Amino acid sequence: MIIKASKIKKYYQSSQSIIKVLKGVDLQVEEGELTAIIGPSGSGKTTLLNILGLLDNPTSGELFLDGENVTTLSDKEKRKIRLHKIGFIFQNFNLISSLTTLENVELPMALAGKSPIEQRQRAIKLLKAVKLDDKLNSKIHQLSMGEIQRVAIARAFANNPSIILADEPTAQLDYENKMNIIELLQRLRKEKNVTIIVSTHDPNIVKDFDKTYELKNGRLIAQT
Amino acid sequence: MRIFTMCIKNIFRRRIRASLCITGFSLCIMLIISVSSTVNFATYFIESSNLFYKGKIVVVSKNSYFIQIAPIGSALLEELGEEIEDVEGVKTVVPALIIYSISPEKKFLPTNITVGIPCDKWKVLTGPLEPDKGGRWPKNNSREVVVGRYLADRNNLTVGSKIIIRGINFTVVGILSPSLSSVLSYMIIMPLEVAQEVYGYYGIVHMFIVEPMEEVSEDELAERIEERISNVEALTTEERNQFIEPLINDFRRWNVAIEVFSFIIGSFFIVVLSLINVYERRKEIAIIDSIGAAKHQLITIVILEIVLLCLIGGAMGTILGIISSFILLRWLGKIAPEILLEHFWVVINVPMLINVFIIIFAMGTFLGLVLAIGMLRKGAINILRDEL
Repeated sequence: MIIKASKIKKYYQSSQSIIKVLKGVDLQVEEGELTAIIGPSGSGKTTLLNILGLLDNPTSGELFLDGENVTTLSDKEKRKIRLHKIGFIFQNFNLISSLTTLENVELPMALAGKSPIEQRQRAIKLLKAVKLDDKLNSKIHQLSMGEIQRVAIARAFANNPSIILADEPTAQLDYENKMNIIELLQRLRKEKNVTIIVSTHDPNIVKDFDKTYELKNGRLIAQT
Repeated sequence: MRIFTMCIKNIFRRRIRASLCITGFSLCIMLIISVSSTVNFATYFIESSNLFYKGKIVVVSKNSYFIQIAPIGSALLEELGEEIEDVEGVKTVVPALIIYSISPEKKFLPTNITVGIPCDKWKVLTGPLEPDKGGRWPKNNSREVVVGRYLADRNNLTVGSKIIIRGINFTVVGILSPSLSSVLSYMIIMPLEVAQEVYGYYGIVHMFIVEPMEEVSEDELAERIEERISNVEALTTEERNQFIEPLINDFRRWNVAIEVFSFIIGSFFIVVLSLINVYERRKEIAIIDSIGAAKHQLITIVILEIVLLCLIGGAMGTILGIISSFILLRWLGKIAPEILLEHFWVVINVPMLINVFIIIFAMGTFLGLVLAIGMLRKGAINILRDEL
């Protein structure tokens, strides 16, 4: 089991009350699975993915990645896991606008200390895989939304992670691009044998997923 | 791609932001350097002007003031020189007439200073300095003058040029290009008797410059002169300096105050610019953080960018500061370009430049560190959420 989340709770303290976003989430994901988490906006999908991606800490509960309890790890160790084991695809892409397509994909590898030649070769390969090899030196603002999301996907795969977390990767795309992105994720999952968790509010795009969960009232409910 | 390359690319690709930051840094540093250099040079100018007649005694009327090269409120009969010569221990006595010509325009220096000195005694005033090649000193009773380099350049005068002083025609026979004192550059030097005639000081001089014999001290000789001759003051080098010392000290204090003030103003803007620069980039920093950058990598990115901007701005500001210092001194101080070039290292105070650079570098690093730590504390996800 590559991911095991047990009784994950996340509460936020507002000025007047405590907002309970996650009220005890349990999740188990096998290696190489394509999992969907569906739910309406504000249901806590992003919060859950942030916790699974070690970007946020749960209020309580435990998270195991590859059998290791990561909730107790230091910030430094969490950063290392984030860099090497997890690839994150953000809803609003979060690419660096001053860098080119190629440089955005190279960035995680640069942070991991890979040589510039290795970075360049792998980045070109990844951009080829997402069919953007003709836009290697384009600036982010010169790309369409679908292309930007494909760059974000290529970046997420840069350090050859075992887990990809995609937070509403199709939210800002039209239907055609949505399906392209989902097909791309499915293809990359097969090619690279990675575990992918996709959060979305659109149940139509997760038809062929291995598992689907619905996040409702702060809890995950498995869909059949 | 290396992290350093990424920072460099980021600066050059965000041209408007980077240019604005660099311009801001440059202007701040230019302000610090130009203000400090101008004030510094003014202080040096006054100090160097006080080196005249070193080792000699200056005899002036009692209760007059002696500043730099000439007394104010002193008038003595020329024949008094013979009495001074008779005092024991006197080697030479040189009478001098010095007239300041103040322009009605507000200027840093008088328009010119006319000096009347007996022929063959020029060295009392100029030391080893001789007129430039092709020139000479004026001859006895001639309508000839030697002019300082600044006056010559400003009025396009060369050897052989004609000038009119108080309605009388003179010929320029030499140009003086001083290195020790810039005051000489403003001088018109002519024979004493001619100066007395032109300015109507018949038989009158402003002071006597007295050289003591080798075995006699200045103090001793000054005392003897004052004992022997009534209504005169014999001022030693030390006493003359006492007149100007409080003024120089005031200038030094002002210098420090102005430097500190300009530094505070400049630094304030540098801090503001750094804050804006990093704040504007916080989303990018948060993205890099979310990918999994180590803390030291994030801190390096933030610091590197501020330091690079500070250094580029610092280098540009230094060049602009040097240029503006020269323009200010030339335009406000009316100081000749060659004097400024000759005193380049006085105008451009190297220790001050080094200090400015060190402080700017330290400020850039410190600010970068504080801002990066602040961002790390807030956490990538919170910053990204704020930026939505």
